[in-house]
Amino acid sequence: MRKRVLVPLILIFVVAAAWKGLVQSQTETVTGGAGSSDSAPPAISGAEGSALGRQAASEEKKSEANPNDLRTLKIFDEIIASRNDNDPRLDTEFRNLSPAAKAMLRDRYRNYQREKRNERGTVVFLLGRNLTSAEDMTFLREVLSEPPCRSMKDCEKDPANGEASSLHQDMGTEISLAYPQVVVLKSIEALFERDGSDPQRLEEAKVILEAAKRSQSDKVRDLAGAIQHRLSSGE
Amino acid sequence: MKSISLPILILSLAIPATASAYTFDKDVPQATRDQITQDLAFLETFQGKQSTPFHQKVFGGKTIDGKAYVKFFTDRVSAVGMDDCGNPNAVACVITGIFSDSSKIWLTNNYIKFSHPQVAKMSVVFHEARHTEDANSNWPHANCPTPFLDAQGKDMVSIWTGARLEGQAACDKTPFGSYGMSVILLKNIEKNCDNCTAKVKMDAGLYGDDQFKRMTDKKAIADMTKDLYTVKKKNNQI
Repeated sequence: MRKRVLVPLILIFVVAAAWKGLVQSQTETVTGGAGSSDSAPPAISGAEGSALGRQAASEEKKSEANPNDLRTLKIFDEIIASRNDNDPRLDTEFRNLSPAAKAMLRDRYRNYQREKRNERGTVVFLLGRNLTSAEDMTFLREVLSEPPCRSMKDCEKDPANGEASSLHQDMGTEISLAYPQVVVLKSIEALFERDGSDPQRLEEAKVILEAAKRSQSDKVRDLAGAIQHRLSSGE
Repeated sequence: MKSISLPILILSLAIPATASAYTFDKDVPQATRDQITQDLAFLETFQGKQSTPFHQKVFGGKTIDGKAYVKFFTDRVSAVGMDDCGNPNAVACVITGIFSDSSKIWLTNNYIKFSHPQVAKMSVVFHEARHTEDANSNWPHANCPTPFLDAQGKDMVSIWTGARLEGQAACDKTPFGSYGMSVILLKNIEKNCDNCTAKVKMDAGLYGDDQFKRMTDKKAIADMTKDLYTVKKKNNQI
């Protein structure tokens, strides 16, 4: 009698386990081969640990991404590849981003070479219109705390010298070097100016603005001060 | 006579409108040609129902019309070549002098390598295009004052060299020189372009404000402030 009950029960368990494994593998395929939680690295302390931790967290977010999020990322990649800052999709396709979509865009930011100032700034711009969580504000602080980019050719090196007579050609380079950070500040300014902004986000934004006034970049310090002055004087 | 004039008329109509457009030197890489062509096409799409008086004076018409921007460029620039412009950080330049073709704009390799926002890069190209105007003595720059201080009272320095800009030919006293014209262009894009993305408008404002700091004549500053800065932006519309 027992065998007649046990064998079907065992069979049910085996089939259920196989079904679960099948569903999990299909999910990973849809997300384009995102790392599974099994491949997440063990916890390591220090900067490497936090970077790896971010990577594991972002991979976890990718696995939560739905087809709409992947479509959003694809559109972003298309726009960046086209080098067309006036693509109207910049204004239409990146509203109400999901946490997973934001995580993927933050990944994009971190994977761009530092010298990709416009690409990085564009990510900040799009995320800066979707400041709804503490994690969003943490990213802005991460961008602001980066060391200054010292030259357009190589952020780690000072620009090579040229003739003094060509100094008039130096137009806007300082803005470009600090572009992602400048866009952080413009995003914060817009947050204050937007009706219905979350009071918690506004409090976090005030802290970020104050920190920006201590930036190593003159442009960032000056802009932070100017924005703070404008907001406090109600201009 | 009629039998001769009609074919001539037909022939003249058949000459493409781009006959007066700029040419590329042979050494301009295809990627650079493609990029500047695309960047001009980017500007050509801009539309806006109004523009400021200074914008009307420089670019004509009463609206923002991208075709007028491209005409401004093609009316002045006959050719595009490659040069290092005497500075490893430069994006573009015009070389004037009796042995130079001042209607030619020179691009550096940085034009496609350096990651500036698109409207910022185009403002540099237009700044240089202004320098092609022989009839206006190529709009030479004014020497920056000594001392030349920013709003915080610190010396204005070149980010390229760390050198102070005081005494250097890197300022303008007239609103219609190369810096002033770029500010007029950028601030009008920011304020009045109806089909520009919020990013383009934000970038135009950022770089326009930055270049305004090179204006050093009080009257020019006052006139440009009245033309470009008197109407408060409602919000950033980001």
